[in-house]
Amino acid sequence: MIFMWPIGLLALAAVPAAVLIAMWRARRRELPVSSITLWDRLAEQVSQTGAPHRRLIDVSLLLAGLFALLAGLAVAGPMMMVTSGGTSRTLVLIVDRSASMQMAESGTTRWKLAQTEMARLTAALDPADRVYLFASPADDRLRLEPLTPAAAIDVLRALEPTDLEGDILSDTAAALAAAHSLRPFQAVVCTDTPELIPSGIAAVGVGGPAGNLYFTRFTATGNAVALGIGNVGDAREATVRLALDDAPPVEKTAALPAGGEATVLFEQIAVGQVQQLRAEIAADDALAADNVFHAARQPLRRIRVLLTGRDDRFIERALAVHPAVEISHGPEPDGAEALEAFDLLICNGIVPKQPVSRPTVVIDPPESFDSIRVGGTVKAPQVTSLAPDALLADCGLAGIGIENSRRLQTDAEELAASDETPLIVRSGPLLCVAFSLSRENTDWPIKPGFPIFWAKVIEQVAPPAAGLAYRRIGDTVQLHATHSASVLRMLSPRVREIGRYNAGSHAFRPQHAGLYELSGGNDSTPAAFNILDSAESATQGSKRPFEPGMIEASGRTNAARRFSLAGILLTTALASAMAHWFVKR
Amino acid sequence: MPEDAFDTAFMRKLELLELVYRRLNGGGNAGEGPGRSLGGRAEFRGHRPYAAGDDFRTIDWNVFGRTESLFVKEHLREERRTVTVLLDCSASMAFGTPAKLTRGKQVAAAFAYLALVAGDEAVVAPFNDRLLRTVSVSGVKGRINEVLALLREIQAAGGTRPADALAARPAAGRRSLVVLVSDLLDADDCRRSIPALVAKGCEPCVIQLLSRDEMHPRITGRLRLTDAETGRTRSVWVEDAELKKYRTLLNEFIEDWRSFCARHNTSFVTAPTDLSFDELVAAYLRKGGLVR
Repeated sequence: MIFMWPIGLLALAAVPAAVLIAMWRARRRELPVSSITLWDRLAEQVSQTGAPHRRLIDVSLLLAGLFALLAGLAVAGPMMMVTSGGTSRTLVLIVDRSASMQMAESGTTRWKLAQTEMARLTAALDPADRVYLFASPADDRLRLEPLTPAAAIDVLRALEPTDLEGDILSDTAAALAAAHSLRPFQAVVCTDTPELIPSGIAAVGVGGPAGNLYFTRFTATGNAVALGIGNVGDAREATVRLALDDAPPVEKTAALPAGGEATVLFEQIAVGQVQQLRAEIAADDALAADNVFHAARQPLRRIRVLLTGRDDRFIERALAVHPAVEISHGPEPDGAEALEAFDLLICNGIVPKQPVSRPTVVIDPPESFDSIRVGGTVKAPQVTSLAPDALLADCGLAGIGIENSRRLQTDAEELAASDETPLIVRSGPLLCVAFSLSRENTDWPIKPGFPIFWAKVIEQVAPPAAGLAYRRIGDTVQLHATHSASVLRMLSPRVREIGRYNAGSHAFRPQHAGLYELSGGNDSTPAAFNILDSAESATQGSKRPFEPGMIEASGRTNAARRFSLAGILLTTALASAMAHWFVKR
Repeated sequence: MPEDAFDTAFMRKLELLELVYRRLNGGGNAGEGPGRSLGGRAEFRGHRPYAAGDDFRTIDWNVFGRTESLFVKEHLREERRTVTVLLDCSASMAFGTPAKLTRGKQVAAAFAYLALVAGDEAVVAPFNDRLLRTVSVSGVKGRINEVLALLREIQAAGGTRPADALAARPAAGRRSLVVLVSDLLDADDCRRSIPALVAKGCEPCVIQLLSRDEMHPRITGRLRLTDAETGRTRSVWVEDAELKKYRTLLNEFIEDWRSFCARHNTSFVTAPTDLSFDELVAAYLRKGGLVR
C-alpha cells in the first residue's frame, strides 16, 4: 500500500489525541455528593439487571479511535497495488521471426541467439508469472493464451523463422493492442532491429553486421535472362548459376560493388519452352534463403464451357480458337455444385435456371431472368454506343447488322447499346447479349471481331498463363485443385509435403521461399516464391542482450494497477461515526 | 453564609405573603368555647345566667343593678398558634446553587415572619443529627431579627436526624404548624414522627429542597462519589443510560414522599433551589397551599 499524500498521515495524530481525550474523560474522578443513597440504589439495580456496571472496553472509545484512524488514513490517499493474477506478472513477448533472423550471427544465427535470449528471459521469471507469445510475422499457432515460463520456452524452441518480410514495429503495436485486455503487463520485443522499438518497451537485440548477397530482380525475354544481384557488405565477386529444367546449369560471375548492385545477363537461352528456372548465388553469406531464385511456367489450364440452348457453330468455332477450351453440350445441370464443374456457362436462346453466381453468357434471352427484364423486340437496332471496356475492344461491334434484338430493362452495366435498348450488358459474372448471334440475325459472327470477343470472354474466365512466373514471398496465390486429395509440396530448396487439398480453389501464402507444386491426377500447378529485393536481405540491426533489469525496471510496481482505498476508508469511518453516535445515544 | 439571604428586597417580598392555616383555623374549635390554653387576649362573647360555682369575678354587676338578676360575662380567649420551622442543616444542604441551606433559611425566615405578623409564635429549630440552638419569638414582627440572627449563624454540617428534632421540637403545642425544610435525603427516619404529629393535632408540612444537580445530574464517566454526610463512597460508571435510571429513581423517591404525606394529611412540596424566591413562592408554596 502506498500513500498519495503521505503528509496526510499527520492526521493520524488525531488517533492518540482521541484516545487521550477519551482516557481523560474516562479517568476516575472523586466527586462529593449530597447523598449516595440514590446512587446505591442505582448500582444495586444495575447489578441486578446484569448490565456491566463498569465497561472494561469502552466501545465508544474504540469507535472514536477507529474513526480517527480511518479518516486519517483516508486523508493520506492510500493506494493499493493490484497485480494481475494475484502476485504474478504478465509478460508479453514479441519475437521477430522475419527472414533476416536467419542471418548468420556470431557463429550461429540471429534466430538461435533470439531463442537463447528469450530462454534466459523466461527463465528469469517466477513460475507463477505468465507469458503471452506473439511472433512477427504472425504465426497461426500462437494464440492469445497464457503460458508458464517453462511452456513458453518449449513453444519458443518449436518456433522457426520465416522467409517473410517483417514489420516489427507494426506487429508490436498489433500485439500490444491484442494484449490490451491483459493489462497490466510488461512487453519485451526480441528482434534484430531493436533500434526500431520505441522507448518504453524493453527490446532485446540480436542483430549485427551482415555481409549478404541477394537477388534484386528477374527478367526473362525470348532468349535471355537477366538477374539483379544486390550486395550488402564489401565489394566482391559473385557467381550465379542458372538452371533451366533439367539442363546443366550455366554460371556467370559478376563483380559487385560495396553496398551496390550488379546485373548478371544470361544470353542465348531459349526460355520459351522452359518450365522451371532456378538461379542461385554461389556465395557463403549471411542469409542463404535469398540466394536462390525460382520461376515456373504455369501449365495451360483447361477451360470447360457448357453450351446450352441452341447450337451455334459460329460460337463453337470462335470458342475453339482457344486451345484450352473444352465445349460440352447439354442442359444446365441442377444445383450450384454440379455447375461448378464448368468454368463458363453459355445459354443461347434460353435463360439460366438458377441465379447467376458463376461466369455465364446469356444470348438472346426469351424471357426475364435474374436482374434482367426482357421486353419486346427492337427492329434493326444500330450499335450507337460502346463502353470503353477491354471486353469489347477490337471486337468489331460498331457497324454490325442486327435484324432483331430483345428490349432489355436492367440496371446492369451497358457495354453496347442502341438508341432503343442495351445490346450487351454485364452484371457481375453475367454477360447478356440482347440479340441472337445466329447468322440469320446478324453478320457479326462472320466478322473478325467475333472470335476476338469470345477469346476475351474466355480470358476473363481464366487468365492465360504468363511465361516464367514467380511471386514474392508474402504474396498469396489461389491454387486450383482439380482433384480431391491434391497434394501441395515444396520442391525446392528441399522437398517436403505442405498439405493436402480437396478440389477447388485454395489460398496459399507460404512462409518460406521456394518452388511449390500442387498436383492431383495428371494436373500439376507450380508456384514459385522468392525473397526478391527484400529489406530483410539488408537488415543489419544491432545487439542488445537481455538483462534482468529489463523486467525489473518496469517490474511489479509499475505493472501493477493502483486501487484507491480512500473511498472504502471514508465509508468505514462514516459507519464507525454513526455507530459511535448510536452507542453514545 | 456567603450570600445574604435576608436583604431588604427579600423582606419586602415577605410583606406580600400571608400564612395559611388549613386545619388550625377551621374545624369544630371555632365558636365552641374558649380555648383551653392560657394566655392571649380575652374577647367578650356575651352573658349567661349565673350558675352555682361560677366565678364571682365574672358576674356583671352592672346588669344586676339594672335587672336584679345575676349574669356572668363570658369571654373567648384567643389561643396563640405556634409555627415551628425545622430546618435541615446537615452537610447535604450545602449543595446546590444557591445552596439548599440558603434557600431553606429563606423559607424558614418567611414562615417565622408570617407567624409574627399573624400574632403567632414562631419557633425556628435548625437540626442536623441533633437539634441545634432554637429561637422562639412572638409578639411584634420586629423580633424576626432574632430569627435572622440565628439563621445567619447556621452552617451546613453533620448528618441528618430529623426524627430527633421532630420528637424534641420546642413549643410543640396542639395548635402548631410544623414545617420541615429538608432535602429529605437520608431522612427516612422522620416518617414515624410525622404521623405522630398529626395525631397530636399538629399540622405538618414538608418542603423538600433539591439542587438542580441532584434533580438533573450531568456527571458522566468513571466516578467515585463521596457522601457528604457519612463519608461513604460509591464507585460508579455513569453514562447516559445510568443518568436516565438515576432520574427515574429520584422521581420514585419524590413520589414516595408525596404519597406518604398525602396519606398523613401533610402538605408536601418539592422545589429546586435554583429558582428565585419569588418563583419558589409562586410556583410551589402558593401552589402547595402553604401561603397566599
